[in-house]
Amino acid sequence: MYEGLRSPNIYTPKVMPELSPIILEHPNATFWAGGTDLMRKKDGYPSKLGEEEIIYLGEMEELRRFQRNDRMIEFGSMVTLDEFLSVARSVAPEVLTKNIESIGGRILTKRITIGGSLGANVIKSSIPGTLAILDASYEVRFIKRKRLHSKWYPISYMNGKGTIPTGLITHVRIPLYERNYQFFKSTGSFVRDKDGAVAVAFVANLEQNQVVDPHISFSYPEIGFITLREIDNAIQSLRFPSSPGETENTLKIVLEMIRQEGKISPLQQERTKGILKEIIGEVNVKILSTPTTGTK
Amino acid sequence: MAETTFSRLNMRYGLIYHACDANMAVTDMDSDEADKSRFVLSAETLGDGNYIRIFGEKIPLFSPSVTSYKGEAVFAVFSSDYETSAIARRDAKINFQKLEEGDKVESVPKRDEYSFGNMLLFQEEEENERKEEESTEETLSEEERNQKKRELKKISTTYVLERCTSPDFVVFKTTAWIDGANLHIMVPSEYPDLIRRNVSEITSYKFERVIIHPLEYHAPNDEYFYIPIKTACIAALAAERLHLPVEIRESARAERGWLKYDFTTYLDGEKPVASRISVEADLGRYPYLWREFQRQTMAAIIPPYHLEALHVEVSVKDSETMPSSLFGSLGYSEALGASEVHTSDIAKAIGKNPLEFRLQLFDEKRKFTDFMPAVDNSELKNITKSVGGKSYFERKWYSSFLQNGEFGLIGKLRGTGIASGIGISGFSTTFVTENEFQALLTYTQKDTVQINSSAFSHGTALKYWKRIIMEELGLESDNQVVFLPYGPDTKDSGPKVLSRFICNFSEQLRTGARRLKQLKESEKPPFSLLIDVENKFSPCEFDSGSFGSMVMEVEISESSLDVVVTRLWADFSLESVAEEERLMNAIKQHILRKISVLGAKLSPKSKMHVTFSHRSSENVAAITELVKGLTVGSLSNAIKEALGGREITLPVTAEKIRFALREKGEKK
Amino acid sequence: MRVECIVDGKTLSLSLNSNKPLSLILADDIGIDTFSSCCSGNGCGNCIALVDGNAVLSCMVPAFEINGKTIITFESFKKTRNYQDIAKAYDAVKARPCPICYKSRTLLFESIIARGVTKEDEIMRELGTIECACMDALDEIRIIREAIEIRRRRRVRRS
Repeated sequence: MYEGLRSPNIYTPKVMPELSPIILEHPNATFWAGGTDLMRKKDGYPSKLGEEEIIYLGEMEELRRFQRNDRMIEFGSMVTLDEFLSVARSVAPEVLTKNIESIGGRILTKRITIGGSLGANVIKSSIPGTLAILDASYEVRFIKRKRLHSKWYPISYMNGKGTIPTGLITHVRIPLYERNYQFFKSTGSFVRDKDGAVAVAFVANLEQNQVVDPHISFSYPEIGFITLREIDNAIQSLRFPSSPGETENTLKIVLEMIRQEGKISPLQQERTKGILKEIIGEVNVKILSTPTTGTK
Repeated sequence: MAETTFSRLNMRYGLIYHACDANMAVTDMDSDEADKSRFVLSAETLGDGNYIRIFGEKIPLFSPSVTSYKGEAVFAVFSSDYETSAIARRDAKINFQKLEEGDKVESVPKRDEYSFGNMLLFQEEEENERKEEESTEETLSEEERNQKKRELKKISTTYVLERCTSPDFVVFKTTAWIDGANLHIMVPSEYPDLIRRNVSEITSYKFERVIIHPLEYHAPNDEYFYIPIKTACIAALAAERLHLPVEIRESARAERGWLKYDFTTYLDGEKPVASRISVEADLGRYPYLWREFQRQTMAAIIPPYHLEALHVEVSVKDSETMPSSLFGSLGYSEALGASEVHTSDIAKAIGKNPLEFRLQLFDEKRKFTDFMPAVDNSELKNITKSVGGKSYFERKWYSSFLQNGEFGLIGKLRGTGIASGIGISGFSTTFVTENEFQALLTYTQKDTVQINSSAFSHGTALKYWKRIIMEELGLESDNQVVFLPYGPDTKDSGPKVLSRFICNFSEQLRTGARRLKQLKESEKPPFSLLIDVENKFSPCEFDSGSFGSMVMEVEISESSLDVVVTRLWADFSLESVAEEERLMNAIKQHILRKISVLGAKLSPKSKMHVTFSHRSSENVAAITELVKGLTVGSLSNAIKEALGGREITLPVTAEKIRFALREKGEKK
Repeated sequence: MRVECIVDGKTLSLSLNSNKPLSLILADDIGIDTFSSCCSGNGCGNCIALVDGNAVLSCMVPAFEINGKTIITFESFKKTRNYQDIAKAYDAVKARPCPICYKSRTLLFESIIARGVTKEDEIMRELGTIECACMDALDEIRIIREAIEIRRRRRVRRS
């Protein structure tokens, strides 16, 4: 209706079988979940080169379902962050609920979907990093030989560790392990402060003077998340309470490993160091305040 | 607001293309003008008429052959909808060529000086040079002999406020249409009369035929001073040439220039005896209020305590940045903040805490200068003492002094800063002396009061004056008081209304309304009354102003490096106050906004304790400059304390904090 | 694409680009100049409207999503009794937002008050949506709590 400007066609499949013919006919169509990432694109509207077609996923019931048992929770990719909090707060890991709360108020969390935050491109979210350390996995539906296939992948593959076919994220599964220490902190705005924002998620079990099975992830708006077994091992090798010298040493090693994984700004490095120091400080306090059984 | 008499069916919608950098030669511009559905205005289409005037400064409307500053309008494109204009703007092919350094035209800074006493006696280097030039047989004067006996301590401060910009997400619309012989423009503007003058110069419409329909605006950073003049002229030109109504959408933004203050104060023991102050200001391209800036800076920068000698130099230069003469301030508040930073530096250098030192300084009466009257500082001393007591300033200051800019085990840096000063009320400015204020009050047959004046552009003042008229005439609804748009009979006005004007005019308006009430009993409506406001000032004429003191506490955590204001105490002693609740809200908003502009944050646990007292007088409190100046000063001092004396420029950012702590490292 | 919706009580049928943001639809196509900001998704928070009773950032809502929905902007909200509750709360606490964010912040308050949220940390999380730094956080919390109480009393009186 505007000169030189095309209005994208909107397809609203309701069930999965309706989806594959649409994808086959329009292989370059854009999947539209909450739209928060897409609506932020620079020069997104008006644009001659805008999405050719849009596949709106909001009416697919299958993608809105939530189920749980003792060992895991599984939910559709169109479950919004707000819905996730209201349904799963009591069972979901605390690190994830804190991550979701850090994103903002309901005005945002009612629009941002779990699947959307995994697939975001304009601004990477901190959610994938947290899901990665929880050993979460996600299901991808993709077209192969004109048929819709499905496969599960660990979230950790999203930071380039593995090859994933292009497709639609349909479900996410989080195993429920017992962890007695969980930490999440985010500094700076992932939207407005791309060169400075950092989010760190950490889970572990604290036993006596040691951190057992730690998993830590660092999220940055431009590069996504970083998780490394070497970093986890470096933290595991610390003996608590940790002295300032040992802490400083570990921080240096960890930062060096992060720098090798991706280009982060000096401010992000400093903030990452500050948050890590906070974690170590907190663990020190917890370990020191844990009562030990004395012997006569 | 008068009814608009145009149809949107044939409207043309325009967007402006902004230069991506300064000093770029526009070598080739192709906006597909062959496409008749679009209309383009640029320097090329305007030829010699491509300029506006603001206080005598000639400013190009569109970039001529070389762009003057980043963000300057290069062209405007109009079409039948915003989408098409946006695509046209994006698709425009413009070639820019960056000029070589040698091709740039450097401007000469504009300097102003003020001094008293013999500054040379206090400057060792210059003294030695002078002595070398003179014959060694000459004996020293008695003054020089006495001077040589004193052992003076020299304290220097360099304080920099970097350029800062108002948030650019605020947008506004400017609409222009022709109705018979008149050209109408609907726009939010702090200076409608200036728009009328410029539009009448740039179009073929005479001044009397240009009618401004003012829209409500909120301009904490004077966002609606400069840009609306440009958009109004562009819209008017487009409407005239297209013979169609035109609308432009543009973001309202303002910039505050880069400011550098160098202080050197000589102390005899604990007493300042001489000061040399140098201020450099980069007010962007076409600094149209530079003289006003110099005056206001002088007024604030001259110390309130007695000195034997003083030399102040304020130099303004222009540069390749957006014109930035206004930012809710014409220099007073920034200069006040800077001088408070230096005062705290002096205190620290002589081993006193900043509160104690200030109380000592305020024992003396402020000396009269050409820029400020002699003021008794006792009120200022009382307020400073009170705020210092309420905030437990000394205890907190010593605590951050001991922490000395090290995170340690706490993981946080803390700092407490103080600032005290005098505000100005009824400041006479260059442009005000050029204008006269008038208002024509007309009581109509419909029992309404019409007011014809272009002075009514300030929202708060408008509401206040409406209430005065309603009270005096016993009117029930505020719809019965109507401000007419700026038309052929509109009287001239200055820009944002000055507080003294509000006060004087309010009283005359009240008197006028009472006279209307008397006339109502004897005359048959409609009848009118002309109010002529006594508003001619000599430059730098003041009434006594307001006093204030502020203490701010900040925290910087190791994990974020953000500066967070945790507590704030402020106390003010003001002249008369019209509405206490509104004033309190305004004070808090000014403080909060200034903190945000300077890069600091507030947390949900931040607490503000603001109080003020007032006395009945002729003058209405002009709180803005004082509040902003104290915020700048106390925040700067608090951050400096938190960093253990490390220098940092404002606006502060986490990156600057990181740099100061990790790379610069040097403490004072 | 043809979009049918109700905006401020008026039923409208609009011909729009399917991905045009609601903020621009209100300004350009319907002529409601309710927003003074346009950050295009950068999170200024100054474009809040109510869609089917829920507060949304209208710069993030595309045209195809408002088909069949009811949209309330501040222009019609200010005529409601719910707005009067908030206005009274502003008077009671003696604090109000600045003109730039007044409309959006008031609608944001409405969305919090309608849910009866009184916990400080929950309120603060919601209020972080708006970037404008013109209000003291404690004043905002007091306004919300006061408005909830005013509304409760009004509803008790009515029943």
